[in-house]
Amino acid sequence: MAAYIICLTSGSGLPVFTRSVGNVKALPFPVIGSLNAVHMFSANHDATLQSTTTDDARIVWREFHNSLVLIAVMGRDGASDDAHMGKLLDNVFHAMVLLYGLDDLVNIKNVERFKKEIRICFQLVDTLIQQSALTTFSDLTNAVDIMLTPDNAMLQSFLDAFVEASDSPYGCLLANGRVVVATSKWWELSSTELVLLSLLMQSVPQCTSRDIPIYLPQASPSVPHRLMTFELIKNVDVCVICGPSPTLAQLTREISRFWTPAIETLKSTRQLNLRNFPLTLDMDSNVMGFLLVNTKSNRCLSSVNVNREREDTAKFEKRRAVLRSFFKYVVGTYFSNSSIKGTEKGPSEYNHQATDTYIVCSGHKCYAHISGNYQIFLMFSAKIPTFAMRSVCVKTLNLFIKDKNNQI
Amino acid sequence: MFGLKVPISATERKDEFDSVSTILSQSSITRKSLTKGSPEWLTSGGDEGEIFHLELPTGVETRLARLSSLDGGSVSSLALGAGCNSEDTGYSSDQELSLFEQASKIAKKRSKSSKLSSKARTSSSSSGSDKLSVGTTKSRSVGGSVLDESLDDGVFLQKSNFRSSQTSTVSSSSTSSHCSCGEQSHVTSGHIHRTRPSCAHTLSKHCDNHHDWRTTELEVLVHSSNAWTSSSPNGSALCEQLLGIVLLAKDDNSYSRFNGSHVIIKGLLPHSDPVMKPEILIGRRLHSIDGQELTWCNMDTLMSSISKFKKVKLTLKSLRPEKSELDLEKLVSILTSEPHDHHGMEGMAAMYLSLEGSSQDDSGNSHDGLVYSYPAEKNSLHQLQGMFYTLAHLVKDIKSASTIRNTTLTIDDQRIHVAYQQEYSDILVFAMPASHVSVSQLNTLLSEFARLLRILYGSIESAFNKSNHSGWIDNILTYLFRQVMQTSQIFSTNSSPGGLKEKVNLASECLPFVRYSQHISSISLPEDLKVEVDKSLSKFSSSDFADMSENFYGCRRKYHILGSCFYYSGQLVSNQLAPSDLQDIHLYLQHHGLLELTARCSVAQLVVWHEVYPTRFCHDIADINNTFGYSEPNARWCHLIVGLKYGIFCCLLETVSVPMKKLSPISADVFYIDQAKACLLQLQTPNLLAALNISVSRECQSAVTKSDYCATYIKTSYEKTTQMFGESLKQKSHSNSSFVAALQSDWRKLSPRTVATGENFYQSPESGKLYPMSHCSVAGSGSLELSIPTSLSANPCISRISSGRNPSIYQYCYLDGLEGTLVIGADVDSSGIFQSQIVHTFYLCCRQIHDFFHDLGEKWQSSKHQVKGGDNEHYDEVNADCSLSSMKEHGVLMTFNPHIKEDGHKSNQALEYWVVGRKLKRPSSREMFVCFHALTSQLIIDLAFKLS
Repeated sequence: MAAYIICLTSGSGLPVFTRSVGNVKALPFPVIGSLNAVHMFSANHDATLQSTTTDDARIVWREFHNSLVLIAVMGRDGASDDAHMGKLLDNVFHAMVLLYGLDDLVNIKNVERFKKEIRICFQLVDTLIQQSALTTFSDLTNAVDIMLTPDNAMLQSFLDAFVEASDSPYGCLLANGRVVVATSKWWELSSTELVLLSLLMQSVPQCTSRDIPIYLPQASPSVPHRLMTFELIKNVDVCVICGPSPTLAQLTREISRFWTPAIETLKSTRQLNLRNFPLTLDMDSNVMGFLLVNTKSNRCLSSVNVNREREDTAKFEKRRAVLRSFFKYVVGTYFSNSSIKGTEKGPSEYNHQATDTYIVCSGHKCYAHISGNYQIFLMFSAKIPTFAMRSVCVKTLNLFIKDKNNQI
Repeated sequence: MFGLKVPISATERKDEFDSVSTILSQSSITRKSLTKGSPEWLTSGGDEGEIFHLELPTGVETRLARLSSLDGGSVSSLALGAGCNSEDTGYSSDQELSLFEQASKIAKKRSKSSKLSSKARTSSSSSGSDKLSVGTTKSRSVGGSVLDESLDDGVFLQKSNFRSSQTSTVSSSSTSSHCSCGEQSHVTSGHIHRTRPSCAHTLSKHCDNHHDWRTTELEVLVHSSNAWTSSSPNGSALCEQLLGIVLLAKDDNSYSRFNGSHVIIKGLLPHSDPVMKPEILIGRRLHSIDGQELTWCNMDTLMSSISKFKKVKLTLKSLRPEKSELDLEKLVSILTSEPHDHHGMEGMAAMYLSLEGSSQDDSGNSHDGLVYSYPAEKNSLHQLQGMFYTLAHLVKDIKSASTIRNTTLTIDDQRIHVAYQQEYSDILVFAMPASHVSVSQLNTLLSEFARLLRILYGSIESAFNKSNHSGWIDNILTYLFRQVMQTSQIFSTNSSPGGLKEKVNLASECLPFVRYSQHISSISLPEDLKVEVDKSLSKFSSSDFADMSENFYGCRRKYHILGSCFYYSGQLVSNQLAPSDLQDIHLYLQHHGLLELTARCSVAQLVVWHEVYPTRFCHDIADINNTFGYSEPNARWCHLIVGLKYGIFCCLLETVSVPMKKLSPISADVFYIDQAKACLLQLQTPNLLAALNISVSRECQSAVTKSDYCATYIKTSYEKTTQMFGESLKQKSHSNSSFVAALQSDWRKLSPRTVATGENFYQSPESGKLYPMSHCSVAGSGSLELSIPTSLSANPCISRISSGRNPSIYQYCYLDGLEGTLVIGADVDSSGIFQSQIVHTFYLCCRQIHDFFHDLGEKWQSSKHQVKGGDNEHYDEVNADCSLSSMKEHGVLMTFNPHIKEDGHKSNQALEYWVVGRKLKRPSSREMFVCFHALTSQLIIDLAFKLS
């Protein structure tokens, strides 16, 4: 799906950057200028241009802090509204804040310099707009992806010990961009911060350890902190957010001391990749994938390999795409998500609450169910009888939420 | 029939009939136009030959206007037939028709020897009973069914058609249990040339003399053989005996229709002299005898005096019924109310932007590309026109071949949707607040409007670039925009959280869905009646139909009738047009408020003649001329629409001859208008009307049958009807005093009556009429209503629907009692309000699901490369569509908790119900929606879908 993200300064209309996905030609300058001009024109007439759709694309404008204008041009999807694309632009802006700091974004003194410096966030922005390539859903659901392992309690104690040693209350263990365990302080970060931090880990190339200065968009948008990450084994990282001390070198030395005993556990955790939940939990064989979102704790659990099929990236990617489309359609139409602005409009039209919805396509069926804070989206194979979906769905949901050990 | 004064075969000289113009010369309407200028609707034609002539009975107009201002113009708030029929419409009124029905029953029971005169007096109207007497007493032949030709120009049936030669035929038809007007009309049309030769003579004399159309003088023989006795000094009785003319008694119910002390002819005795005179017609005023003016006061003496003469000279005058003419502007203003404040129009606009020729404007005032704008007073949206224009062209730069659809913007915290329609480099823009319409609804509105413009004017560009069109377009848009506002007002009050206790007009619940679903709501009819209607339509269209046959006249006709359709009370009854043509006509009717008008009140006369550019031939020509060996002619087309009372008859005409010069307007052809009117009148038989009224009263409220060009059918559970009764009952007890409530309940009242009186239709306890003349008191019908809900709820219903594979053939859903698919909670008392909420939600969901189907279906079409994935039988997971575009079924489970305890905790008794939509592609594209309780067994659900 072709997509562009365009960033301009809002007063002068100078283009800051354009990122694109897919094999598309770069937008010519006059087009970028016109895209900004129509937005500016409407602003001069006391109107705010929100979005425009064509038969195959959608354009969304957002202005941030009277300083930057972000414009997204993307192919149309199932979403009935521009809420999800608005969320994407919010995320892009917050990604810029995360890596560049709010103060410098709001007061751009030298545009040319800013254009050079803002490049540090390109990797993260590209990750955000390459939605289909992501194995996680956090950018969409605004809830951080987690992973359930049978050894969560043990890993939690390893993490707590390590974080204590690093002199910081913020720490988490990530596997394939999913949070396995995290400290309680880490969970207190806002959902946007949690999502962006785990996406940041996915966006940067693998390396054994790194030290990145970050601004937390909500908690401390102008005072930088240090995000230090260490690769324990392949695809499994531990992150801590620290102040000025300790240094990266100091902590690197501590790694082997704290984590060597956990290596075997971490390896078994890594094997759950794509399944993301313990092998002990059994699920209906018709379930091809699911997405479970807790709108209160802002965590989500997803899996596209429920039944331990042999790995087939293209197939899993397709399933994720279906789940994404389904989520985009349902949230904003029947379900609302308080952390995604604009999704409450659609559901508020109804007198009664929509709790379940399903669609039957030629190759698969999808079912969504809402229960308290939980929203579950399931993708079934076409074999399942339509009437059975509801009970399978409720059973699946209970599988995860009834167990107190599973913190979703 | 067909308005011919002269029975054609009766004339000896065949060469008189060698051209259509001869027929025209015989047509009463042309004659009229020859003698005394053109009929009113002819003069109301525009310079392009189009006609839009509409008359309403007096009083209706003001009533409608009052209603609009009272309840915000909620559609169908006026009771059908209640109070609209008291005025003479120029045709036989509903009342007459109903009385005719009534009389037919009476006649069956009565002995055949009953005297006409006595019957004429006892029954309240002449026409029906007279006609019946033709059948029952074979010796009599009375032009009883004749409609007064002198009443304006409504010349449909001539009494000569019913002269003595017809006796046997008519009587045979009427001895069968139902003597319908339609049958008689058919009979008549078949035998028209067999009528008495002398008529022709009379007529020619009539024409030559250039008589005043409205005043006729003639001599009649006085029936002296009938010796009168002094024991009957009654003037009207004398008149009957001496002249053979039955007068309308003063105390007659229908007399009130005629003002003053006029003496009105009610009927004619068989074998009397007047019955042989074509000029003496029922409903005319007997003005004077031998020069002396006749009134009720001097009648006795005058009648006694003429008994001495052999011959008297009668002067007849036609009564001009009071009708009010309406132009489109006035029609719009009475159908919709002015927005209460100017805030209403804020955020709404329609613009046509074109940069071509904007700089060289003749008048010198540069319009900056804004060729047309509505409303005339500029609001903030008009300042943004430049942005719309830029955006429309900008998207092409981003990706070529993409066209702009919508824009959303915020002005003063109000979200406004904008829709675009692009024609070359020019754009047509609609803007409406998001609170009024959803994006998809707005797109529907705009595309329909654009299509209408193309139909009417050939292209959007030509519609706006000619200044003389703007007034017309203004009116259409006024209607459109006000309708949107009013619909959303009704809607928003219902959906507001506080609206729980508010009344819910169920007719309006389905309205937004119906309005925007691009479907034409249609009426279900029993099979035999349906056949009858279809027969009438096809007879009209057929090229070899007696009067219009080419063989018959040996010349080519001016127009081919490509098809026709019949609407009743705003809903489609029968259609013989191609789907696309029907859609064209539907759009015309819809946007001119004619559907709403006929749904709400009776129309005295409607004539529309308009050259059109049908979508099928002019705009959407991909499929045309694909058949080998045949190509559609290069012709011109016309819409001909005539309306009478609740019925609208439309047809599409195609020029037969070599296309006329494009510049010359196609002027109205009176002959065809005449024929169409006759056909419409034929369709309004009592049988059919009765069946239609039942259907309308049921379906207006539940809107169960929907059929459209792509044959989509919508079904719903039927409880809403039951619920409606409960609702209106409730309303009665609570808000008896409110006038609005009275009117609304008036509307609702109709359905219990028509439903209830299915058996004893003609012995309705209230007035003995199908339609009460006046507004019945609210309390009066209360008892009637009370009995209905129980009988209905004892018979829990689900709609059963049937659908056809051919979109042009509509099948209907019958509201048969079958299965209850929606189970109401234990609390019976509260069920009414919850029911209405369910219905409300149901339609919202339907809209959503329908939009989704539609949107994705479109996408499916556009992304051809995906075809490999979804619809293929061999499903390949990797190639699967990830955009859900192959969706076939979509369901939503709605939950609400009627019993929220005071501490805020929800009890377990939540009501759950599904709204499920299915889309079928084979054999034809269809959509079905069912609403059912969550615990309904799968079998019943499947059955419900299978029934479709």
